[in-house]
Amino acid sequence: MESKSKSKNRREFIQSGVRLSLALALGSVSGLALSRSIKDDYVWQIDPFECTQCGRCATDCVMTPSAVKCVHAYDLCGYCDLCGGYFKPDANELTTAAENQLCPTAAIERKFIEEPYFEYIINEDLCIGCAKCVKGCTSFGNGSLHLQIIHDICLNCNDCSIARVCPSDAIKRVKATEAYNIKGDFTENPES
Amino acid sequence: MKNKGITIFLIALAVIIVIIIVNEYLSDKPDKGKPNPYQYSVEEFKKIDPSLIRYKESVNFRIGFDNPAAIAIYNDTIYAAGDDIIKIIDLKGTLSGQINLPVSPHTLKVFNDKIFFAAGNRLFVYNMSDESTSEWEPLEELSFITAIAANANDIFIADAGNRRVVRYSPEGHLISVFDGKAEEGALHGFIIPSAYFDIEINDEGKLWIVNPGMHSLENYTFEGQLRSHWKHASMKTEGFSGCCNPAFFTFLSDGRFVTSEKGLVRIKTYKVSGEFEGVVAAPDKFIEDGHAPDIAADSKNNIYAMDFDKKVIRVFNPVD
Amino acid sequence: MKRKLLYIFLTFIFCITALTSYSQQQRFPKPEFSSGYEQPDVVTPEPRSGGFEYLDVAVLLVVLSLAAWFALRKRSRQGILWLSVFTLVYFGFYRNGCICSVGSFQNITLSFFDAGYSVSISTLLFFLLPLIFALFFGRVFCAGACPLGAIQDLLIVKPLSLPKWLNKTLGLIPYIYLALAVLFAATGTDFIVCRYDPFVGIFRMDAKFHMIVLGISFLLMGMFVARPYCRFLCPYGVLLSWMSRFSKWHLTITPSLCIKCKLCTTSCPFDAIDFPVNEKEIVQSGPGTKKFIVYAMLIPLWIVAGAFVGERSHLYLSRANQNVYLAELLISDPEIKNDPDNIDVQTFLESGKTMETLVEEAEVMRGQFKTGSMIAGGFIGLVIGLTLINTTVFRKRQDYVPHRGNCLSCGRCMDYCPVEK
Repeated sequence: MESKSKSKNRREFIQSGVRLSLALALGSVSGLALSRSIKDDYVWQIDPFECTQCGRCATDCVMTPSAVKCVHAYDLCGYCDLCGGYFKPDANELTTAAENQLCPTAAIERKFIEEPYFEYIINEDLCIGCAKCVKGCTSFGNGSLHLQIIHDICLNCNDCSIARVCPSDAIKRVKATEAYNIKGDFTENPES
Repeated sequence: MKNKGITIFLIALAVIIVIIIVNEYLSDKPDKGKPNPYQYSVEEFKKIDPSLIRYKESVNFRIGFDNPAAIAIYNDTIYAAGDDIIKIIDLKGTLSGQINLPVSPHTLKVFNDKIFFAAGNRLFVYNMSDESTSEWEPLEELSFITAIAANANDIFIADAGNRRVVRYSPEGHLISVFDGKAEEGALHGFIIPSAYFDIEINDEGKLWIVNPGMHSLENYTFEGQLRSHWKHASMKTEGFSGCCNPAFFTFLSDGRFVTSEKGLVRIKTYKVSGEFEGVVAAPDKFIEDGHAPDIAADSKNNIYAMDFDKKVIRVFNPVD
Repeated sequence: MKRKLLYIFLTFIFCITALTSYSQQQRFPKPEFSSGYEQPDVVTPEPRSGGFEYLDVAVLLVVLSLAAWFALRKRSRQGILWLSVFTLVYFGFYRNGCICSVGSFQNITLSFFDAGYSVSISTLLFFLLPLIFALFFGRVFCAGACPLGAIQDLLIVKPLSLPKWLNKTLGLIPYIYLALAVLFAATGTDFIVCRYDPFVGIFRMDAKFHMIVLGISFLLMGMFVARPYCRFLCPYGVLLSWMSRFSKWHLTITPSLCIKCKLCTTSCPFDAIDFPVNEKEIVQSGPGTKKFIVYAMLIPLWIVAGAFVGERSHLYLSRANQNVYLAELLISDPEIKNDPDNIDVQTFLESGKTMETLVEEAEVMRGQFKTGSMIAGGFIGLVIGLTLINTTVFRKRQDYVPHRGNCLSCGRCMDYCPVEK
């Protein structure tokens, strides 16, 4: 009986010793992590200047349709009649007829403002983030159309499945408080 | 043994799981990727009928600029601007002089012994005879000077920021301003969606201005009255592509036009009437989505293109 | 507002410095409209954050506390069951399975090795809380707070008891998975635990087809082999079981003294109940001291062998890194440069990055993989050695008790025990 309780005591002693060292290990790992931690959460966002419009944002997001959408930085837009992001390169006429539209889901609305300017609005519900218009706008226009991850759709996966396959590593973690990289804007802050 | 069915089922599931995981691990590799299903393709328009190509590239001049900016030719001497330097080069590519500038110019123009250059809204004149630089009254803040045209009595600058052309006297006095709105309403005024707005005076003393938003070249009197124009908006070889082209143009010695486009980068020639004539450099000569090269021509109709992406001056000689 | 201004300012600086050639175009003023046109704003919905991530931490804390209370004090399987239903709905279907504790160790690892990455406090807490609870109460996280566990737990139909050797062998997979996940996370290559998470696609009701098949396969398997992912894959379960083995308190089958009625023996779907040791058997097979000594002496050999295997396989493993793969591909098959449809190759060619830089980066990465693979291999060797040693050790045991490392604290066995308090 005595020897049994002895061995039990010994086992308990070892157990609590190991427990303490495990707790210490946990503490030091978390302390080390804490020393380099930040309060903000991270979210994923696209750097529009590194994006090469490869089309993977449309095909590789875990969401269908993708949480990546085209956004329009109106400040940069030329409001052109012949919009490289709206019309197919070989469009016959500059009308809103479906056969002239570049967007595979007709997600861009074209509105006449005044001669000769037109406004282009992205319908987020239809946009699939394929970047076809971004390519057209960047090649032939001012690059006001660009892709962004829209955060009320994005699930903020721990490992973004688009970032993993992005050929130009344009998708990066950014702080949640600075969640968008909307292309720069001239008229609002000329002095900065 | 009554669990035999279940065992087989479990083994089958295990095999499926392993296959899926291995398959997923091996996917997404660079040599297994699929082509972009949403490719924006202008390949069709990059192909150009070889019989239309009237020029042949001969040599390249390395100019050694980090940020090349502009090229001009006067009296068969090349003036190349970049960084904060203007280099003077002969037609064979030999450097004969260099001018250090107080700013990084965006454009330049040479006439007689004066070099006009501009950076943002500031306009400068460098006098080659006494090597002095003077600055004219700067334009307003939004102004962005993209091109300068000059002859003996008049200096015109293209202000892309305010979509207008400003006329100066040789002494730097502002004479007049016009925004190109035609009275008959046939054409809109200057539509400048991006910082490309070129202007030239040809050997006959006619002032030509690009209206990039209209894909047109417009001839104005010095007072700003539209005299004539021609335009051609199309992705096809004979037209100007995109929202706003041509980005640059210049004249050959006989008054024909040479144009340079961005987006679908190409250099072409047009007859004096504005009719398409031929191709100098096809899009496959440039990198994809490259910048429109600035162009200048010598008296023998050789064309010198400043390639901003490769940072060289490329020389094209007529073949016929 | 200040932050926003700062951000705009930074973006602006970026535009000017990084893209000097474009800068003029970026800053170019837009047309002036005479018709009173008003430009719409760019809509940028805020991410779910700003305190919300701490709500998740709070929910996790509450669920863990409740699970511990249900398992250890209230002794209520019912309670744990409803808790896991809640977890499945909240962390699974509502929060779509991200962030979860199971993958969080990868974030911690990456933050140690990537100077540019630091882990957020909420992620750190998701990593830490279940482990702390395991250190005190056993794997209550697995019982009630893990959505991956919950979805499998609710679909157990007819759990079979696996042979011991199979249990032990399959039980090595999580260690390998853990070692590889740390290796891939440390090199910044991939978060494999997240990538191969079989159930996240089901939570989101949206994933690539084969990943859905994977999830369903696990669930079907789970009808007969209870919680297969938890027992034979989950790398976080390894850490939890380390903690749980030495936990201060743990769920017990009986509320007081075991009467050895054997009613609970078939209750555990996870083969996690240790039976009393038959003393006669031990005597028959010998005390095993000799075997123990031999196995103990073999451990260094296992480690060396593991490190050797790791070293041998580092080239293969390093190919998981896109840079390494791309560099090897371009060297072994230069023709691929002419394939206009190959997005990765074409993007590289257009990026202006030289082949030398790419190869250099790939070589550095390979070096990291070499060291990492050897460490990972050594670790796996150690685990194999220790598992073997374990087979020689017999603890005297007279009662039916849960195996502290493997018990998921689900509480099923408690209902079978006839002993009253």
